[in-house]
Amino acid sequence: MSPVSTLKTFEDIDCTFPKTLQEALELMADEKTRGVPLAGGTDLMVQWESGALPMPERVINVKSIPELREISEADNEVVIGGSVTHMELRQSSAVRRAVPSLAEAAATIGGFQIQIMGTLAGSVANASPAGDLAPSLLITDGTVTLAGVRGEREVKLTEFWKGYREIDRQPDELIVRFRLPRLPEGHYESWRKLGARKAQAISKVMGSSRGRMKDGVVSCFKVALGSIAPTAVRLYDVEQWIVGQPIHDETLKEAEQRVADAVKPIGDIRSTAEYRKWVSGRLVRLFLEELAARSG
Amino acid sequence: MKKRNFKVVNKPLRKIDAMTLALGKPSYVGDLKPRDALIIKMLTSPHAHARITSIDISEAEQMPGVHAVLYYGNVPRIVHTTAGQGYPEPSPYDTFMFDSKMRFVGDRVAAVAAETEKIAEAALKAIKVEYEVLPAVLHIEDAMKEGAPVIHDEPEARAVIPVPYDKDRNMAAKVDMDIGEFEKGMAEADATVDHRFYNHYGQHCPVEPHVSMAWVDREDRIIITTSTQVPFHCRRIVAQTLGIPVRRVRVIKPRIGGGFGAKQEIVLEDVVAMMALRTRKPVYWEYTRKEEFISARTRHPMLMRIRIGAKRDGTITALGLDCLSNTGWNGSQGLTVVCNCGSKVLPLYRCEHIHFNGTVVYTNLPAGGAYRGYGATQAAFALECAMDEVAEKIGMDPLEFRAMNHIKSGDTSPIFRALGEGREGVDQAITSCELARCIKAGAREIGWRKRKPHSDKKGRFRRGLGMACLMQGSAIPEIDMGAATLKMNEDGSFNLLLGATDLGTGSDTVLAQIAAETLGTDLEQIIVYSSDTDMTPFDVGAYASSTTYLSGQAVQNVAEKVRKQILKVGAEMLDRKPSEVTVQDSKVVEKNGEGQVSFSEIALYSMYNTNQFQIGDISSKIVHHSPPPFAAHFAEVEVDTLTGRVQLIKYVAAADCGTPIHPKLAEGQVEGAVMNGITYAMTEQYLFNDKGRMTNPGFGEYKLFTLRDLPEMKTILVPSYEKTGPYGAKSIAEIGINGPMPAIGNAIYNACGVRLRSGPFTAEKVWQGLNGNLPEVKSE
Repeated sequence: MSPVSTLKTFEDIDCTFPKTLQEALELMADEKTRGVPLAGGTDLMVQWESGALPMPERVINVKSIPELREISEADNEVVIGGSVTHMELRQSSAVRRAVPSLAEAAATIGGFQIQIMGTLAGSVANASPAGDLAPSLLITDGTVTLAGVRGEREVKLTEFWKGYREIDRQPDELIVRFRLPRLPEGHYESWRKLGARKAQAISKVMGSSRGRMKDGVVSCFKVALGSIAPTAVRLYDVEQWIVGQPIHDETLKEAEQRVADAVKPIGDIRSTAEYRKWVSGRLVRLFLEELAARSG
Repeated sequence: MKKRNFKVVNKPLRKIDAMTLALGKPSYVGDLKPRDALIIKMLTSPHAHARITSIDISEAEQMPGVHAVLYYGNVPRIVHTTAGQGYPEPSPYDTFMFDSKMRFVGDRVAAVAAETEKIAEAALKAIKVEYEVLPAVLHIEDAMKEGAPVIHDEPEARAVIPVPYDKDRNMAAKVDMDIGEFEKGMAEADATVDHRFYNHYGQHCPVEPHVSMAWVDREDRIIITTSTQVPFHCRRIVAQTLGIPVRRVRVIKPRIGGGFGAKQEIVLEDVVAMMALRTRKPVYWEYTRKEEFISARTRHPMLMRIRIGAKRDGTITALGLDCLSNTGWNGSQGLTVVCNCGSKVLPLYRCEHIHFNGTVVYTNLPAGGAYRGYGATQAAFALECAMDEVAEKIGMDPLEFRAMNHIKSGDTSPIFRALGEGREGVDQAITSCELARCIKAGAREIGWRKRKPHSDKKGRFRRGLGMACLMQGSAIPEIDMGAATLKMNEDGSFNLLLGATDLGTGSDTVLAQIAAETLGTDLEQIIVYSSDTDMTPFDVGAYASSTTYLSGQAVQNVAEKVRKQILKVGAEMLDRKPSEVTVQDSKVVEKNGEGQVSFSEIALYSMYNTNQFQIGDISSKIVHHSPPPFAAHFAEVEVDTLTGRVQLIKYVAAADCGTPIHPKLAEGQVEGAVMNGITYAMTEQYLFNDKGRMTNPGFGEYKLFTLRDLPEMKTILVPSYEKTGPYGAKSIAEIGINGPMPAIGNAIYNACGVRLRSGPFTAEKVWQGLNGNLPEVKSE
């Protein structure tokens, strides 16, 4: 075989556009028709082009499947389809009410073009440690639903990311929806992203928190950070420690130190390990300050 | 300043190519690519320093669709410089079309021309190369150490003008200047500063990367269409590199998508020409963005030592600058960039005792080249930050300190003669300087009066103000030459043929305005053609802030000559003496009387009726001055002490460019240059691994500011009139890029007390500063 034919371009990919979820699942069920699920392509196409991932034989484009494009509100949760775009997340009043930090995070991903193309399931499945939506998903203690022809399966988001770019998905499954418990009354969320510029900046560090203050002390606090470990992580030890504490300079300092001690970031092209460690603590401090300020 | 009554210049008329470009009509090299053009791709070195021990191109050559493979074994070996400069060049001859020695990651190994890009890529993979990897020089400080690997050990490498050059020690150039007694000046000072600054790598990032195509015409001449700032230097260097006469090469420059200095360099054209000759087919080569970062040209990174001494009354007693410049794998523009660190910056402040040294070293890293600012950017960072530091030590407001010391109209500086472009410079007195008014206007706009020391600031968000004063030049006196041809057509229109190179700057419009003003006609009557070495007269090209000032005078000269011819014919038609008539609104009119003839009638008469001749002329110009434009820049920043992040709030640039021939384009030049400088200061950086490979060669991780990141920006053009320039004009294109590093650096210090002496000004560095553990200034 001459080397020419081994060089693949986008034009060589066999891409199918199933019209229904059932059709997509059937394609995924058979190894002969199965392809890489594509739900926007803002991560995958860049990696194929650069050679970071091999150019696939087949692609199943799930972005336009109607069942995956819905956002609905139930009593205690918001249900978001996997192919909902970042732009739709940031503009959805249901998402803004139920998980405000998720809407804010979606608004900081890439630039407008990427927000229009990229999707929730795509970002989650790409499983980059710098995926901006992960912390806001983690703090809800919600679930992700995967479907195959055999049926559906629900996985806790806190258990879904198994390691660096690794998720709990079987080869024949598609991510179909996310069920996220809504922000309870009296609780507040925070979100911050630190990047080199305002758009098209992959995060140095980012994170979200959801918490409540009652009777002058923290009664509930969930916090997750990204870009500081192989996956976005919840800081359970810090969460447990802060519950029952009042928020003042000493507890803030202590929280900052505990966070810095808890995270084990690496240095890379975007920042240094030392800065990430320090600024992780600073972000959580900021979240606690915001919680105290909003709780009046 | 007296009010002048201009008709065409000093007016924001429609840019003559605006509609064409806005409509997306085929204009650029890429638009003009023939359908059957072969595509060129280059195999590059994976090693920073290596020797090819074996190379086998046979498999690639035999692949279907491959038309030629070039490598060091089948092309002429002619030493030259890639720098597009005057002849003989001040840059050393140290480059070959291809060589068996690899001098950086990205160096040329072999080029393929094939029918499709895909085949060309595949052919590159089929070339078998073995290397002997050599120890590499990856830091400026290591280049001249005893026992350092010698990068240019080939016998041919040499300097072609009498300047210091020592390739055995990796020294590509050196320049020294001492005026007065520097040490004595330092001793007389009440306060001194002595600090190291580092200017990091940066790339021009033109929207259009380097792109060239060529074919061989029926007369066996090579026609190159290329995105270049220097068509005539390109013709000369291509002919030299291929070993063919200049007459066999024609270079055409269509519209250009930005250059900023990157295209003052022969980066693709030699290979494109060689491929056309070898294949006898049209060939096309376009750099990818990755190649643009790695293998095109960069800003010369420099380690600088700045020393300033001042008395308590504000007198500057000593000024010293030592620059160690990294020219990378070749010495392109190394000497002249470092000369400009002295000549375009140090004359700004009056001082008797001045020391300057520039040492340029080779490393196994990407090559420096011309880049907007051209050394002044680097030196202004060190000088203008150090000026703030001295002012603080003597307890003066940095604005007052600068206002007291800066050069003024009528002043001269011994530096103008002492430092030229690789040779002695030219004496000159400053004939126009409105820097004092720039400082006043900028200070008012930024609210300088509310500025407080950083020690007064508390809380999470701390704002600070900083400033910098700047100068540049306008063309290279007694070296650079520009020329223009002007001829008249039957309808009273004119062809203006320019060697000067519009690379998106709008110079075609500016030069047409000058022609129209001089001829007494409208801008619409001027048909501009630039540039084509067969059709247009010589011009050095677009660099050194020369086009408006230098080529503008050539245009003014030729238009004056043509105006005389028109007056003569018009007078003949009106039966008057030439002294009895004048031009007005595209007509020759009697000074005292009713008689008039239109330009069209004159042209028809001169072509068809009596005493026929072509109304038209050619004129060229060299200049004996390089009047500096001046500017005062002001920045307001907000430092978030919670994260170290710096937010740029407002940026004010007040500039004196003489008469702005086209005020909107002049403002655009200032804003473009300032944005260019801001993003260099705030986010741009080259990252290398320990083998000398750039790890972020793309817009994903080489961060430029987006429009959303930009602060509020204000440009103030302060009126002035440069009597040696065309209609009072000086340059404006480069100066703006020099301000952001020092102005923002000074503002960060004023906000939070952290003095950053190397860029970019990242949150990480501010954090280190806030914690008192900023590392020592060093290179990448």
